[in-house]
Amino acid sequence: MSNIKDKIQEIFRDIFDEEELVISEETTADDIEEWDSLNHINIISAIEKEYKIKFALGELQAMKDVGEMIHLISVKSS
Amino acid sequence: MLFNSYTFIFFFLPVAFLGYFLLNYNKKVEGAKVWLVASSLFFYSWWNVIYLPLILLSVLLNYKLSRVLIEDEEGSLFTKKQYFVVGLVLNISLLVYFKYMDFFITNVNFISGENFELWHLALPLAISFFTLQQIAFLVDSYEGLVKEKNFLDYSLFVTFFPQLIAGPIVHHQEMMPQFSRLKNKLFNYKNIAAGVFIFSIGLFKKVVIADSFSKWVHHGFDHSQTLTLIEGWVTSLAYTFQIYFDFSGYTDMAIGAALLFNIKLPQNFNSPYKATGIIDYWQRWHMTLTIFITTYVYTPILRSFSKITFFKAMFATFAAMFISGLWHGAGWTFIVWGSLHGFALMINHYWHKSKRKMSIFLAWFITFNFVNITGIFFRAENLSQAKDILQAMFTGNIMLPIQLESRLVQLKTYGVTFGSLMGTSRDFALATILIVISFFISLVLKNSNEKIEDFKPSFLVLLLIVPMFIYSIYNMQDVSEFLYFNF
Amino acid sequence: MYKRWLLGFLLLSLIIASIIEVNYQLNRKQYYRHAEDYAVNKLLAQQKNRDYKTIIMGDSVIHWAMEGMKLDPSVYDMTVTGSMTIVGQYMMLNRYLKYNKAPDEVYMFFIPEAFKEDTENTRPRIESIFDEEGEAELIKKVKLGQFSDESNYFYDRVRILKPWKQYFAKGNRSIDKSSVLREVSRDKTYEIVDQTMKERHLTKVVENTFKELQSLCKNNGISLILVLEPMQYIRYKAYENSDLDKFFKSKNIGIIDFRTIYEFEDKLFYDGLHLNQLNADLFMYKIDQNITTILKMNN
Repeated sequence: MSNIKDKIQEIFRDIFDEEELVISEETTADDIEEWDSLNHINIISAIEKEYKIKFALGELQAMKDVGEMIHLISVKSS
Repeated sequence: MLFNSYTFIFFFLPVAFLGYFLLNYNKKVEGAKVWLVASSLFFYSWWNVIYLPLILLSVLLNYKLSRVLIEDEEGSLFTKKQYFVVGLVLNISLLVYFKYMDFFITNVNFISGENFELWHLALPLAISFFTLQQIAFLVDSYEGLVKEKNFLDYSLFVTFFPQLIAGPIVHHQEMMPQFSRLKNKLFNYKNIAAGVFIFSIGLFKKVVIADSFSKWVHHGFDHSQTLTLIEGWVTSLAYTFQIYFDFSGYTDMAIGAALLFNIKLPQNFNSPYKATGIIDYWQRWHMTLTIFITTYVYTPILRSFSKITFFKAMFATFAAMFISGLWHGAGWTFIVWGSLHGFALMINHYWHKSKRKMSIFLAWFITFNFVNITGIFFRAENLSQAKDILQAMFTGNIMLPIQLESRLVQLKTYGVTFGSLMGTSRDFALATILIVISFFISLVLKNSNEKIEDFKPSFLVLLLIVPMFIYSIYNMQDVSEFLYFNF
Repeated sequence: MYKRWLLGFLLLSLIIASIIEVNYQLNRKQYYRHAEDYAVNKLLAQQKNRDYKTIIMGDSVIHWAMEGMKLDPSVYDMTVTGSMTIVGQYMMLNRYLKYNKAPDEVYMFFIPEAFKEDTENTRPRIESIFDEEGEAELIKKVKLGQFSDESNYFYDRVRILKPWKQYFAKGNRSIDKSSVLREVSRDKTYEIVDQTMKERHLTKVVENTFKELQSLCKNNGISLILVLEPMQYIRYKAYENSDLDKFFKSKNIGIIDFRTIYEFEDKLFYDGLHLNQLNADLFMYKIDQNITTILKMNN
């Protein structure tokens, strides 16, 4: 699990262009100001590419929560 | 039926509530659901029973289609994708047919010089909302996120009366699990109390605040060509607050009514006038619509491009907002409104990207004024009326209240006139006072969702809520306008 | 805890609703009275054993326009300071004739709004002013409605709770005939015309009342002369061909249109309805002491 979180953190750091960014399972889109709809799509695309998985449209809203994100990734990539 | 009516509050809601829980108490779970669907359809038909067949047809068709989408593909004539596309086309066509035909014909007439007759189709109640809700459901079914195999449950999902007419737009997964939970089938005093609490707040917002503004807004827009500068601003601010208290009040009532049945509907407003950017605004205003547009319009557009660039994202943003504008109404004013918001979103995104900073107050000021000014297009009957109001606001004559005449008579040499603004001095005074109070409520106080989280069943709360409720009841005229009703 | 709160909600609501109901029942008669109606009652009480040749009736427009005018001793100014609809005027005349000698003629100045049915004309108001024996039957006879369409149980009770509305009403009605020639705002005129246009339809109550008024005058040998008050041109235009206008023409009732005597300048109706100082002076000049002569000449 933690290496999914680390991977996500890396992606976030890249997309938000913040080297020091730290996220936890409780982090949501409300916590990071730049995490808007555009960056959200960028994050999703990056994750899809990294893990070779596809997210349904209906899952995207839930992914605005890191914990949920990790959960979905682990379900889809297993 | 409207939430703010005697029939709803004193007859429909108690009866629907009692019937549902009585049936559940007697272990008639299916019966309770049938009761709720039947009540909801009764609620829907109250306005005009002619609309009923349409919603039944829509529900049936979408259910049948979703069943196909969740079964195995083998042995069927067409692919799932084809059924899915047909489903989308049917839903959208139904909406377009009733909502946009006359707009389309008017424009064809304008361009071609012909004079085709308008169809004057009556817009079926809530069609814009239940269409969106079912489109979301079809997509979710197609993508395998939801499998609804029970027609009764599906009907309940679409027709559940608190959210039927004007949202919040709910996802199947948000609502239906709540219905199947066993403990939700017993009535719960905490939820009932919270429901009564937030319903009263919503009723007050709508009946007392929003409906008070309504008269001055009407006056301002009806006399748009002769408004003076101050009157222009009073009119636009009055509308900005009217629509907020009207829509958020209605949503509060929806959430409150649903809570009586132990159902928690998603939040739809989060102090939108506190927003410090237009992106922020749309995450606070009609939140469930923003989520829908982002998820089912913006994202597919963006993902259709092979490579996502900032420029393409801006295109998708603008397109999504344009469509949202059009969804709100069939008219050029809505197209202008949507486009303006589309441009504003692009500018906001660009500002974020360039990592520039701005003082919070300036950001708030720009956002609020933008929302206030574009709101004029939303309300105006046509573009020229909107232009009149804007002209008044920025280049209008300055007229001051006649009571100040004796003290400021020297201003007359500068072209300032004195008279009764907004029709009568009394109207001007009341409108101004209510605008100031509205600023306070929307910028300083906690919003109703925050209030319901803090809700404590204390005597103090009772002393505040009961007078609000009673005052609303006694001031309810059975005929009132609900701005989002024509959706 | 929550159950108790809900019961408290119910109980407190019922308590407040009862208080409102009690307040309404105690105050309804007074509430429906306009501030000026007290003056009407005072006036009616003073009218005993009088004998005039000519009586002038009308509402605040005429009252304030005629204020300070010296009239011939055979002419009596029975105009009121508030607004009085045709039902009220009928009841007033009826009461007058009970205690006083019938005049030869009554000049009844009117505006089209006096011939409509609305909240001004509510039965509670008329009943509260005219409460002598037998008067209630007359009110029933013309079938005066209890309330107007707009009101309902809740609305009637909450109206009485709003004392500030009374304050504003008093404020509006006090006529400030300052010597400044105030000009009326365009929008105020539209507002009044809008109101007039909305209530253009003649109702059964008005027809019944008018019939009663005519027979009352006939039985007492009174010549009833209706005079259309001075008003702004745009309001006059709204009256032309309205239901009321057609009603008078169909019944062959000749009315005197004050416009034929003098056309007052529109902007000098300072609130859209009342004559300002200049117009009032002109009005008095035109009427002069020989009101009957002047008016008869134009009949």
